[in-house]
Amino acid sequence: MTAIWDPALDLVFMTLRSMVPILLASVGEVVSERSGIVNIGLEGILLLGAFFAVIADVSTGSPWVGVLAGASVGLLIGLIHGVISTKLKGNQIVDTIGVNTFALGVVGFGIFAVWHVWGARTISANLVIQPIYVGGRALSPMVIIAFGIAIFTYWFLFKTSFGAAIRACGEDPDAADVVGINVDLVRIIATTYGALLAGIGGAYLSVDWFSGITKEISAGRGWLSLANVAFSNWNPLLAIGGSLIFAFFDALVLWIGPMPQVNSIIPQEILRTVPYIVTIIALSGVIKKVRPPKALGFPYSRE
Amino acid sequence: MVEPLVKVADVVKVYPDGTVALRGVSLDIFPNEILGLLGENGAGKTTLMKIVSGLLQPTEGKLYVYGKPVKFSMPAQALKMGIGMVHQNIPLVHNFTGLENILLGYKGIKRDEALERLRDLMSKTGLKVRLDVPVEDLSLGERQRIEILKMLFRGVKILIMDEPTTNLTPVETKDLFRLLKQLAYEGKAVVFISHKIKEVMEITDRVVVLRKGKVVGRLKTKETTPKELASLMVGREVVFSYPPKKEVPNQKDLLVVKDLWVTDDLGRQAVRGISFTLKSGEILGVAGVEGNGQKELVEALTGLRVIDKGKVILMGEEVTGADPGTLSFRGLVHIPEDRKNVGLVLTMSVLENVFLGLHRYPEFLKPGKLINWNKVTEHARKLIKRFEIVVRSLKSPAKSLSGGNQQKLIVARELSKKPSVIIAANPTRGLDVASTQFVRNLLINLRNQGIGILLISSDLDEVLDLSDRVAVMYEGKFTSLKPVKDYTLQEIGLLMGGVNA
Amino acid sequence: MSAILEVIKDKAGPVIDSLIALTLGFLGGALTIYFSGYDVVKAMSQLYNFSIGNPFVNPYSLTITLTYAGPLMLSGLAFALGVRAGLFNIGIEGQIYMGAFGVVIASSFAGIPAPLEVLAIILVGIGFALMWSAIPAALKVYREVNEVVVTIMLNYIALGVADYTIFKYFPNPSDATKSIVVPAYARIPLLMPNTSLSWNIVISIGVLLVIYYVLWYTVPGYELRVAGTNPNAARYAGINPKRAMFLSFMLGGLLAGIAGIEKVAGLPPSYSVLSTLSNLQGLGFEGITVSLIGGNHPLGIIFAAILIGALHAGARGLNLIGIPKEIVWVFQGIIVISIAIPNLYTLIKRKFVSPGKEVVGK
Ligand SMILES: Nc1ncnc2c1ncn2[C@@H]1O[C@H](COP(=O)(O)OP(=O)(O)OP(=O)(O)O)[C@@H](O)[C@H]1O
Ligand SMILES: [Mg+2]
Repeated sequence: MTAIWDPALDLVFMTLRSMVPILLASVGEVVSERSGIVNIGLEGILLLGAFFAVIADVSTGSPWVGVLAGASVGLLIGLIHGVISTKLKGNQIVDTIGVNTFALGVVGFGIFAVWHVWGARTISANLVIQPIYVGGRALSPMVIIAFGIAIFTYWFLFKTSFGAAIRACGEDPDAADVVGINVDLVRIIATTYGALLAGIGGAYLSVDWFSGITKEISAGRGWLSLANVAFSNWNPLLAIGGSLIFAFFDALVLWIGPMPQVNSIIPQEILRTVPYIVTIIALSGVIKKVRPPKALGFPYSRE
Repeated sequence: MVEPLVKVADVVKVYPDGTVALRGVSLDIFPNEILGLLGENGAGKTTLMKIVSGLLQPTEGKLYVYGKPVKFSMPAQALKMGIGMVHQNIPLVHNFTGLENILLGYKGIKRDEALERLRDLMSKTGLKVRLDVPVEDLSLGERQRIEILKMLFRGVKILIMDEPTTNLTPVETKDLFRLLKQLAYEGKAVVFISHKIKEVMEITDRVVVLRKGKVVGRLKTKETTPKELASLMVGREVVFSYPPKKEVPNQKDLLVVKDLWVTDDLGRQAVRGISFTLKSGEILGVAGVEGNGQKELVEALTGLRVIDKGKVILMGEEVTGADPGTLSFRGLVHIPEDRKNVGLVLTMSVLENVFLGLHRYPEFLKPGKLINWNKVTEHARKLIKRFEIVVRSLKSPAKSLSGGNQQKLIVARELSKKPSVIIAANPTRGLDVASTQFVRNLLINLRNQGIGILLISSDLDEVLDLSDRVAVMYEGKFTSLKPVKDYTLQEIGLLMGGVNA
Repeated sequence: MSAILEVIKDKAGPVIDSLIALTLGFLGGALTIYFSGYDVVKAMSQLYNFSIGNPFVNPYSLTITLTYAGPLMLSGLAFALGVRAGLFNIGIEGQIYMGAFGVVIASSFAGIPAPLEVLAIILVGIGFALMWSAIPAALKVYREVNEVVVTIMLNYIALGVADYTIFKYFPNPSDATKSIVVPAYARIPLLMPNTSLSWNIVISIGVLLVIYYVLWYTVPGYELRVAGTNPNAARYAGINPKRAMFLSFMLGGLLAGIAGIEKVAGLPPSYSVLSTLSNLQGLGFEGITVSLIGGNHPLGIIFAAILIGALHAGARGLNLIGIPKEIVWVFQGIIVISIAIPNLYTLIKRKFVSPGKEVVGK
């Protein structure tokens, strides 16, 4: 009995673990895009969040300070990106491409500059967020926090007047402006919130999941999150489902890693591409119609 | 005397691009009254009311509300003081429900409380709307009612309606009028912007007529007539002198249009069964208030819009549905109304703009689809000289040219395609006096050479001065088509306002 | 003469903006090095010596710079072509993978006559890249799907497919970290012996000049630029903007294919694809930087690619004094972020030069 269930339950727990960064980053990006601002720098923010979380963790001895550091990095980048995309009328795609490049540099350079090790810095077990135990299995409290944040975000995006203001700015900034909503300000706030969540997701990668930092730690999860935003039709609740699906494939790759018989039939490199293929199909409108916010990507000006 | 709720004093508005939209306008808005704001396209009606409602700031002049001077920097401030404007293109968030739209940006109320108040408001005003349906699924009339509800819900005292009847059915119009009257009766002030004389006569108490950014008439509705309003509205001023029109012998039918039907971007019938014949050596003018299908008519004739039904015959050959490139090869060229977004590529050089459209003509090419820039340069130099276009260099971007020179460049380029038919849409809009004169003279000279010109313009002076025959377009149809000398000014004004004289 | 000055004045704005962005990038990079406790003067001189040095005495450093620059020019131009047609084609990265994948497949034909082998490398390499760029092209043109997300997804799919297939079916029997090598007789020859500089750089510059010619001296190029700058004007002039977009995607794929060929068939010592495609990764993305610095103009891209190539070459020198080479991404990141801000020059002038004269309103 247990013998059959054990590996399956392993897979469930691995999926939950993989889900956290994708869910946080995509829920954040949903908010940002709902306000009309796209951020394709999620991959970079995950990376930076992970890096600065380790620095803070190691120097204070508290992984939660690490999470705070990750959040702060996200906040800072979100703020800069928000201002560039609104007040400065900059190109939202170009500047976040820059963020990704910048992050690759800072982290690749920083790991050596700070700790004088090449490629990876691990942290000891007592500096990692302590898991809670469910049925004898370790589960990160961040899983529960991520679910909570997603549900909270859904609530404030769809059930509060500020959420309505955010959505209005992404759909029809003129209409928002006329009723007294400060479009630029709302957009900056939404973008900052979005990047902040990605920063937390990054911190989770290093001070929780992987107990350390490598320069490849984000491993495409930022791009997956971006895909998940469209895949979940810009809805934080659906994003939970999307994140679980994407995380499932991520976990599956790890799960069948030690099973060469399976790997020879379904190679993991190909398995990894499934979420991306699914996203393209979803965007092509073959399965269902997804609709991005109408004003997504355009700075707003009145005259 | 009653105190005005809003007082506009000597307001001047210059847009960032230099357009002077208002040249010192003063106006009072009183409670218990419907004020009509009448004027031709571009007279400045919308600009004026955008200033009153806080969407724009005046360049000069003052605004008083309840006797106190105010400076609005955003519409929300005006809304707080009880001034609400229902815009021509109603700014509702399209995928929000009516209720969500009404509550957007409104703080400190519970949903249930809001619903109750709205129900109350709906029964009191007779504004029936579905509050729980995304507005994109509602008719334009219903959207407008939601916008009005939104304003009333916020307790506006001054309700500004910008051409509110444009998208309404007759029944809806009637209901709207009843409501506006009721609101005025209850003590609110209503501003009713329109070009439609009939409606202004029917519903307003007082009328202010604007022309080219100035007030040209203040009247009590009861004491005026449609005829007086029409002549005030279209009154003529600057007199240009034009080259004489010559008799053109052997006039041929160049362009024959039969029962043309065209849909607009919103899927509505914008052109509804238009037929006419354009002869060589004539200018056929199309007058009318903007938004009566002129844009769609032009786009359909020039290959930029799908033709639903009907036939277009160019010099004996059917060209219905042909693309712009083919049409220009066959001799029909287009001087577009939107110079900056259609006629030119502003960031590209003058030279490259001269080449636009000519890039299909073999005389400017070398074998293998190569461009013969020497030929194009030579050609551009010739055009610049002949049309006296002021440019710094052929390599300068087109945006560095003045509006007049941009227009000359377009006209010059299109003429170099040796057309038989020219479709010109508002060819002098926004040009200074000299450039206007230049373009108009040119059109007359071309006509004298035997070219057929369809001139669609919302500038009535232009149509009357240049045309041999004039059609008036109203709600997608030509409501009249006859030689220009057979019209009286008043008659045209009335026809444009939808009154069949 | 004065006409030339006027032209310079018109183009000066963007050039100055690029220069400011470059300055900010170098400043930011230098500060990062400084605050990490390194000797910044030493670092800068290493950067210089290993990228340029004294080319008249020893051109070696310069050859490394140019080696990097060759493929970068192509990936930069591929992105620029998208921008010129009004697209954000981020899929160059994946198309390069596919191009390289094609070259590996063609290498497995080794043994056929040399001219055929060369032809096979060219055709299969370019063919694979084109196949990969046709997907976002079709989705954009026929289904109006936003190209940004699709091309990003395709990059990852290409990575998985190429990495798996190459190392499953074309592994190098004597070295597990690389694929089979391009047969010696079908490689792109070296330009200078005992360096890594091959004819790549000549091919790249040649291709750039050809594309420059196509864009500015042929009708399809003209149509592409008009359509990308102003689709309304294009339609008015009888140009189909969708066709121009399609053309841009396909030309982008072509360039990515050539870049893939250069990377595999023209780059000693490996002449193969390394595992996880590590010798290809980042080339497509860096093309974006190159294109943006070069003002999306073929001639500007030549300089921008040499600049970024120099950064990479110089980074080897940084590595020697213990500064990780990834620092070049810091420079690049800041440059790109700065370029995203329009009218940088005007902005800086207004904010810092004459702070009293803040413009009111818009
Ligand atoms: N945003 C703008 N920038 C520059 N000029 C503008 C702008 N909006 C309007 N104008 C110009 O200002 C003038 C007045 O325009 P306005 O829209 O107020 O006229 P209107 O009387 O409302 O006309 P209509 O009947 O066509 O609505 C016109 O010449 C118009 O072209
Ligand atoms: Mg108006």
